Amino acid sequence: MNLLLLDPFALSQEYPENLTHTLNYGHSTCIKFNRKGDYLASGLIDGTVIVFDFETYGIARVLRGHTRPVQSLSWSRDGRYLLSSSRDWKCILWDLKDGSREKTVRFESAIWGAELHPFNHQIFITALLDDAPTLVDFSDGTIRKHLLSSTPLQKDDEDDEDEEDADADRRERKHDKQSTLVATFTRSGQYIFAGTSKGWLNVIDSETLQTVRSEKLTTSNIKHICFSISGKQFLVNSSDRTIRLYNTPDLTYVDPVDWDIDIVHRFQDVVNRLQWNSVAFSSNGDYVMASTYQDAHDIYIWETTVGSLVKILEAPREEIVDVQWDPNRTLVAATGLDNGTIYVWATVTPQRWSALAPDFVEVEENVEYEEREDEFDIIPDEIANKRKLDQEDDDEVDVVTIERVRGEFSEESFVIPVLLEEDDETFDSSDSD
Amino acid sequence: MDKMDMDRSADSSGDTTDSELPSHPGDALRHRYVSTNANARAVVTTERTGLPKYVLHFILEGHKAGVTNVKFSADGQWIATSSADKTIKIWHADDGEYETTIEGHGRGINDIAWSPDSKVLASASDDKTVRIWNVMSGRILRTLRGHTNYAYSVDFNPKGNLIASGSFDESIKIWDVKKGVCLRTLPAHSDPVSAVHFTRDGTMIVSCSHDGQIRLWDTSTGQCLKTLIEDNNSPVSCVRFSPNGKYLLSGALDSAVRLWDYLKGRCVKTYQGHKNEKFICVSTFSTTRGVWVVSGSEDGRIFFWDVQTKDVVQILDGHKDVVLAVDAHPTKNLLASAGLDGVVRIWMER
Repeated sequence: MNLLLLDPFALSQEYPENLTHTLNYGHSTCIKFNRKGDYLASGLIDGTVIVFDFETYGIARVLRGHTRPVQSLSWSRDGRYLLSSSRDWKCILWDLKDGSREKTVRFESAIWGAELHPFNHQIFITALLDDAPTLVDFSDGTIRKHLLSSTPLQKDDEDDEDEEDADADRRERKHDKQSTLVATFTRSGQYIFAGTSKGWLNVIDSETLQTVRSEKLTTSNIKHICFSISGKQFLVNSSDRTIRLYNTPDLTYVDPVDWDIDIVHRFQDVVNRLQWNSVAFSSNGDYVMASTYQDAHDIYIWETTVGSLVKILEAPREEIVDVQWDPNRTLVAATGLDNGTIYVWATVTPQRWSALAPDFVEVEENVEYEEREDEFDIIPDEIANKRKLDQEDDDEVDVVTIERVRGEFSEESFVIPVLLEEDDETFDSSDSD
Repeated sequence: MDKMDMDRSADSSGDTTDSELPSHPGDALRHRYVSTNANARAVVTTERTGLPKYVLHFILEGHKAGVTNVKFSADGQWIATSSADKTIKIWHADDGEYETTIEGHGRGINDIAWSPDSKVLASASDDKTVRIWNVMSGRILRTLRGHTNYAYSVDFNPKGNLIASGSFDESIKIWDVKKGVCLRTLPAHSDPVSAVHFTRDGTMIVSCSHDGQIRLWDTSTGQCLKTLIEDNNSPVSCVRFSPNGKYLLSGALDSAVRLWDYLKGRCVKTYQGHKNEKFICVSTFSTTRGVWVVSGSEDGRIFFWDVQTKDVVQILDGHKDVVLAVDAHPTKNLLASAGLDGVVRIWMER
């Protein structure tokens, strides 16, 4: 509701520039914003999951359950459930209403990452180290695991000019042993995009669990696949030090065989030839950011229409591992590698002095004041008041109907209850700022 | 049509006689109802809902000094009253039964606010602290220290994780409820801050002060977004947002209650007829049946105005001294009023 009163110039800042907060609670390895952007979940190296309230920058929940470092975090759509996966081979679904464990799922191998279905918090997809990627579904009470294939789909179109090339391709698809390193749902939940260790993108239908399309994007490991919030584009980060930006094909109306997976841009650091630790889209999808490997301590921000580098955010003395852009504000959070501190960059707007009195106006240059005809007329108080009161009669006021303001996040988002009793939680808070 | 005789006890508005009344307050009516009161002033109602017909339901007694504020809980089950006798009393909203007393403040209490989950109460007192209590057990959960003079007013944000408090020391402090620390101090006014209120989504705070200004603040940055002043600079005693957050209702010590459109920056309605020149008389909206503006008055009466036409649609008698606070129940047609006579009256409309 404050959007109508805020300075439009301040609102138009597209990316953050100033380091505003540092959160120090344990050693954080991965972070994730919820859909509304008011809570940030942080997984620590000792297995604890902390939920920060980004209105107070304080801790809203401490979730204990994992015994090894947390690998990944995923929020449900309404913000009530949080899925965490850890190196102790378990995935835990937490209910944030009271911090209890809704479900615990054990696996037979280490987990690369787990992600919840965008609409159903009882379905999630995991990529495992020594096993096939697994879709876990517990909507009907029992935990069902469905194994998915990592093998690329055979292409069976006949318009390949070269017979030998087609043969080589088929052989490559069939015999190249590879494992899936990352799996994520599309924005509608209809398909799963899985990236393999040989650079293939496998698109799997989440209902039939069959691979419907495979495309070789690169020759090295695919480390991350992430979609923009609108779902119109997706990013692929791979070990060949390139980040590739693609336009998502029309998933609803077009058959998988006819999809055009077109690359839009390649982002790489040609000077230092660095690997990228982590990638993310901006809240409106116009910017892509990535954190650099080892000594650089930087976050690069590129603009997606032209592909040019627009900003480098520097972290004080620490290599940045995980980066996240707040889905509704111009705010970036990132974790450091050495101390596990969470750095927050945001926009800082100065106070508008014209707000301090009703007749103050900010002007660019001197304005000649034109007096009104009746400026210095002396009107007896009663007549002036009566004139004002009569004017009011024409106004129609509506104090009850709630109107939606454009630009505001209007969906229902779960509010984590504030725990105030001393015996509710025992933790020694050592956070700063 | 016959003149229908409606139930009315001696306490309700003795100065309105109604003719051609509907049998059912909720009917969609097409006629305009015109009635005259003892002062021969035509009282015109809105086209659909008819006049408010509040009558005394029960009286809550027990406070040993004047009652400064009365608030219904967000779930509508409880009434909390704060008093100059340093205590807060909790009562049931449906039958007026006394539940418990919360003690702990060192001096009289100026304002109370319920948390959105109705389990926790915040109170601002002359002992310069704001305290947070567990309502059922009466246990103190947090003491917020920091103000350098009387704490005058307190409000929870809709999520329940922030508290804003206005004080005699001319500042507003925003507190983190969980940690109990002050997150931000806003150098709000040049005179005591008399009221603070959050919007429905918690993004803005409105505050008013004895210097005659009403200011809107952005919660996350603490910056001032807008200032509104009425021409005669009279002290503003209370301010709140309308239920949809688009308008502000303010009461000033020139016996006028004003409705402001803060985007246009001007007053769009003025409600007059009551007396308010010395004390802080709270005004509020009653939206459960018709849309009324309700305010207490220094002559012991409670005034109802129609929001659109600005006419006085009901006057309730009964208090023997200044009526300091009124509050409307969130869902039922109930009104609570309290004042310097130490008695809380609950009025109901059938």
